[in-house]
This record gives sequence, structure tokens and C-alpha cells, in this order.
Amino acid sequence: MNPASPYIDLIENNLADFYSAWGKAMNIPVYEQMGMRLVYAKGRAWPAFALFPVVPEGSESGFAALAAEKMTTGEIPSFLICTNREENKVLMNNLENAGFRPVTVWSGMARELDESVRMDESDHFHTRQVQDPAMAAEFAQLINREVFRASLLDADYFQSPELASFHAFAGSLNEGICSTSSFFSQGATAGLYFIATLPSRRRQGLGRRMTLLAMQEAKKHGCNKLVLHATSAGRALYEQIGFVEYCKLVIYWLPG
Amino acid sequence: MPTQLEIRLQNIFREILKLPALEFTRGTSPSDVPEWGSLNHVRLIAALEKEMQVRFTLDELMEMNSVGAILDILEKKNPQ
Repeated sequence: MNPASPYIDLIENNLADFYSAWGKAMNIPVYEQMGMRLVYAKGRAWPAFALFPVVPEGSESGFAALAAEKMTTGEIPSFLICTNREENKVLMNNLENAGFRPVTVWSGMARELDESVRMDESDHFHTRQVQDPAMAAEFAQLINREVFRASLLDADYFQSPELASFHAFAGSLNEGICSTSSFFSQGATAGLYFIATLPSRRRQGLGRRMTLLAMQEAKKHGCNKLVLHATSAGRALYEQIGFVEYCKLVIYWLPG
Repeated sequence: MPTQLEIRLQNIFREILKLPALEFTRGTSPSDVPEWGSLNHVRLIAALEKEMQVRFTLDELMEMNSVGAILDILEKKNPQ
């Protein structure tokens, strides 16, 4: 077995559960079909995903053709995420043969959590856990503007019991929130999500501070492994903090 | 003086992002253009492959986070 496989399993499972939890909190149907976890709202292309198909060996071309057919009719979401693990190589070839194109790639990263994780204190940068509706609204506004570029998050979702394992944090300098981070825990594994900083406050180390804060809080929560998916813009920061890439998460789209 | 490739790329950006007056530089990135979010980035990639008759590798897709990075990758591919 590929020694990276346990980490890839953690990366996939945490992201799938994260999307499912948010989907349920947002009243978006969450299905399991065709060996995939689907978070799907008919007519909404984003964030409707088909996640991490598990396809029996020998069935790859049939799966790809069926997925293409169902995406064309709108029965399943427009975007399909696969990791480039060894077990998926044949499937990925078949997806491309069926007309799917890779359009975005994230770096699937992980590390163990140990005592060395600690966020530096600062007189000027104040951090808090997001626990009240007003702060949730500010958090959602920042993420909607800087990450989604659309109004997808609503402060009300934070109250949902589906998000009991989701813990969000906000950082501010002099006025409102300027930087965010969060973790979503599954047992001993915490996935880091929504790490974002306002453009006017970047290049001051705030993203690093917020990442370390989320890691520190995940440790207090009893987690001993961390996973995340990073764009190329964020990968260098996470490598500096000790994360290692174990896979690529490839987002496939079916044109037309 | 912009190159032919830069002009073609800018036209694709203008069409996909629905910004007919968009002017970019090599340093322009999604942070500078609110409309250049993750969904429109997907549309941009798909349009570039179709218009330029190229295919991007996974490593190239990971690096396409600015106009300059996209131009560098396209220049190496000598698009049609």
C-alpha cells in the first residue's frame, strides 16, 4: 500500500464530511450515489460537488460514461473531485476520455499535531472564537467576499447542530475582522478551512497566525492530525508550518 | 505594446468575467478582480483550452494564479 494512503484517506474523508455538514446546515440535499458523496442543489453549480468516487477496478470507463450522462442531464453536480492517488489513475484517464477536463487543482496536505504548535501573542492583533451572531455575520461576510465571491455563507448556518464540529476564529487589528480561520474535527483529525485575510491586511503574517491559532485550538480539542487543501497561493505558507503534500485534489468539469 | 497573446487573453477575460473594459497587467490576480472567483476561474480555464487549443497539466493548473503565470504557461505551449 502507498504509505501516503492513510493521509489521503483523512484528507478525502474530512473534506467530504465538511461539505456534507455545511450542505445539511444550508438545507442543500446531500446524497450518496454511484459510489460518490454528493452535495447538490439543482440549478446551483457551486458549491455542488460530487466527491471522491469509489469505483471498482474494471468499472472505470462505465462509471465515467454514466457520470457524463448524468451531468449532462443535470441529475448530478457539474464538478467532480478526485484525488490523484494510485487507485484513481485509471479512473482519471477514463474521465478525460469521456470529455471531463481538470480545471482546478488543490494540494492535499497533512501533518501531525504536536506541542510545537503555538501562536505568538500580539498586543495589536486580537483573536476570538466565533460564538455570537454578530461575529458570525462578519466572518461570513469576509469569506463570501474573499473566498466565494458570492453570498453563500449566512450567519444563521453557524447555529445549526450539523456544524457542532466546526469551530471558527476571527482576528482583528483595530476595527472589524480582517482575518479568519477554522477547523472541522472528525475524531482525532481536524481539517483547516476558511483561512482568509482581507487584501489590505495581507503580507503581515496574519494568515500564519490564524492558521497556528486554529491548529492550537484543534490540539486543545483532542486532535492529533491536521489536513487541509491548499491553492498554489497558500501552499508555501503551509509548508513553512510543517504541512506535507500527499496528493492533489483535481476538480473535473464537463464542458457543455 | 501588448502582444497578440496578451490581447487574446484579455479578450477572453473580458468575455468570461463580463467586464468589457477590463485592463490587466501581468501582476493581476484574483485578489485584484472580484469577478475572478473560483467559479469564473473554472470557466476561464475551460475557455482558454477551447480558444487556444491547448491542454493544461495538473502542475500548470496549480500555478495559474495570476495573469503573468497564465501568459508564461501559454507562451510555452505556442497556442494556435
